[in-house]
Amino acid sequence: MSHTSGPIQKKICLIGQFAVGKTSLVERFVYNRFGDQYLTTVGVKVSLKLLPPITEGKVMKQYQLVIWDIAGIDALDAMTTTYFRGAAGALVVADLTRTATITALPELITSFHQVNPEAALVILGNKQDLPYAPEAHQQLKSVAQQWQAPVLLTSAKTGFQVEKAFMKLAELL
Amino acid sequence: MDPYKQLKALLLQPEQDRLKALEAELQRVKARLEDKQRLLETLKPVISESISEKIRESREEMAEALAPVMGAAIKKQIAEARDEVVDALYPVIGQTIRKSIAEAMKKLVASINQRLDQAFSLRQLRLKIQARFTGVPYEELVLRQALPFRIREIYVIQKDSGLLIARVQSEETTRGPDEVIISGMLTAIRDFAREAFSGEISRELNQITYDDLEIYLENSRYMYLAFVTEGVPPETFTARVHELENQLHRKFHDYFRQFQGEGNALEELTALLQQFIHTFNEVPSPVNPPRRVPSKKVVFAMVTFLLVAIAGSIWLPTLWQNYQLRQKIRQLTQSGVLNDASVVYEVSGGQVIVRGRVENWKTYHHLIQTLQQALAPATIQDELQVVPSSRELQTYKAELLKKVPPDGQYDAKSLHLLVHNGVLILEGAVSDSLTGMTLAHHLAQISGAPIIVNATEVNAFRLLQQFVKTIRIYFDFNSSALTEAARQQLDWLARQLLQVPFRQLLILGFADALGTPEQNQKMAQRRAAVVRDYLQRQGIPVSKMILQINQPVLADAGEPAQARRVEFRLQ
Repeated sequence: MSHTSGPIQKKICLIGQFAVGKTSLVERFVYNRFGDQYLTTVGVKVSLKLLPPITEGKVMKQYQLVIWDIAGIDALDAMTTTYFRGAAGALVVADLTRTATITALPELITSFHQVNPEAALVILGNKQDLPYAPEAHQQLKSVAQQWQAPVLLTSAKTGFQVEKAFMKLAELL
Repeated sequence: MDPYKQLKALLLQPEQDRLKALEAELQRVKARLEDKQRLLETLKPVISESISEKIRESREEMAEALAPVMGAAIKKQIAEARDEVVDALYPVIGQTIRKSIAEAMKKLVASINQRLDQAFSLRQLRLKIQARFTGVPYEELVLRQALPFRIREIYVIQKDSGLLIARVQSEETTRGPDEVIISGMLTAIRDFAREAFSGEISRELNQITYDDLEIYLENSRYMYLAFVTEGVPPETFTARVHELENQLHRKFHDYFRQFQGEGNALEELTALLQQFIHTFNEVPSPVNPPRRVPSKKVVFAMVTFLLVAIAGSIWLPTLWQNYQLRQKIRQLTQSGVLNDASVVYEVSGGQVIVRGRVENWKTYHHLIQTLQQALAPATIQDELQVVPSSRELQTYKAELLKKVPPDGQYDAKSLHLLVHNGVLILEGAVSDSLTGMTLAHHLAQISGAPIIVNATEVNAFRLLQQFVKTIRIYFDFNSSALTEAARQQLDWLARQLLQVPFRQLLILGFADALGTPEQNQKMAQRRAAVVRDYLQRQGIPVSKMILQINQPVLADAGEPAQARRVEFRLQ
């Protein structure tokens, strides 16, 4: 069997509670724009981002992220966990201005990990451009520590660290 | 009147009138303003003109200015009075949809018409045969041609992750970003449908209809296949899809299981998928179909059809002819022309078979002739049997004896008529073959039988022997002189005796009882001698003639004239 080399597809999920800014992050990352529309068709929106080539040792690799933006996870159900299947990683997103969205993260991450135990995680505190309580960041860090995952503060509105967040995840895949 | 009032009236009257007129006008305007309908009618031309002018001046500015207001107004209106909005838009939307459908239908009808116009072409004939053999309605086959089936794309998608393993389309095989998203979304939709509708029973999404496209999903162990198609799929499609899935699983199941999203698709895999697409997309173009070698099934069907058509072209006229013949026979029977109950008429293969029995050949001839005249040009197959009754045969014999008296040429007693296998046989003893033939000829005329077997036996001596016994030569009283009649009889006898070999002719002389025995003895002797001498003169050897006068007077002779005679016996 032979095949020619090409970009490696990796499925990643964006998980987080309703209105934490997941879709906006994707919009910013994939299309480099910020929009307030939210797609809720079947509860998921698939986007694609071809990352710049990276060198792993002597091998040049290029990833193509297949981003599954899973809409508004307030209560985990079978359908949501179905969407997790086959994911190589996840961006776990919380809203810095609403600490409840941070509190909900462990349950989400646990659920995701049950489906994909080997998957890489990056935890994001979004809406960094808005005023938020300092303890929110701390709270986020402690969650990340629990899962040994990096934390980044992002703003889909300004684009702050959005690309970095995705690239970070790509590194971990 | 008070001069002051008069002056006041003179000075103010015009003003008062004007005031009244103004009041009336004011009332009218007020009424118009209060009446919305009338106000709208008044303002409509002005507003309309003003808006039109503004739009002409700056369309974009107007759109920008009105968009939020109109958008909000429309949203509000829809929220508050959805039904009214639907009612208002219905005619416009309905018309648009109708137009769109009409266009599509026009194309479809044109395509179908094109095919129906070719209804007598070989391809359409093949379609008809195919419809006949497969049970698929002809219209559906025509529709399949009108809406030819094509596989536009095949996706091989990893089941859990939704990652695209391979994708092949009818023209090119490059993998672009869109198909990766499509495979992801298809997987999401598939997962969604399964989770939403499966319940306790595991169900899979098998088909998605999108506009004129059909997406068929075929599930496998580690991946699933998505076929994006257009047109009406052939019957074999589902089975072929299963086959492909099996084939792919057997060959690539390890690859599918371990797939990590790497690189481009396997060349071998894409080649198989391409081949699959070509198998189905090699449908002849509806306008200029390329020549294809018909399958064995089609060839068999065509040959069968042609044979049936040829057989039908031969068979159908015969059927029609048979029907007409039956009708004519029914008419002849009903009108009494054919009235023999023992005869049956069978119509087959354009000919009439006549079976049964008739009593005589005249009836037989009449029947056959009537049928030939009435049913011409049909062939009459004659299987009739003529079986004459014994009474019928006796009638023939009586007529034959009348027409051909025996006169020593044949033995009337030995003459016998019989029928064997429909053939009339004539038996009896005749003096010669000519007599037998004469009898047969006359019998044919009398009976009407087409064939007479002439079984007469030529036995002149026996016949003559029989005949000689019946000859009586009579004499006058006390005379031995030969009368004229006696001479004629003796002449005939001499002729016969000269033709038929014999040993002896006994000449028996007799006398009546009127004289004495001696006289009678002598007279009988003399009469026999006269006959012998006469015959001798006719050439009969005297040595073969013996006179015998044992009892000259016959006891049973009756009248004396009957007793005065000579008899013969041939040996």
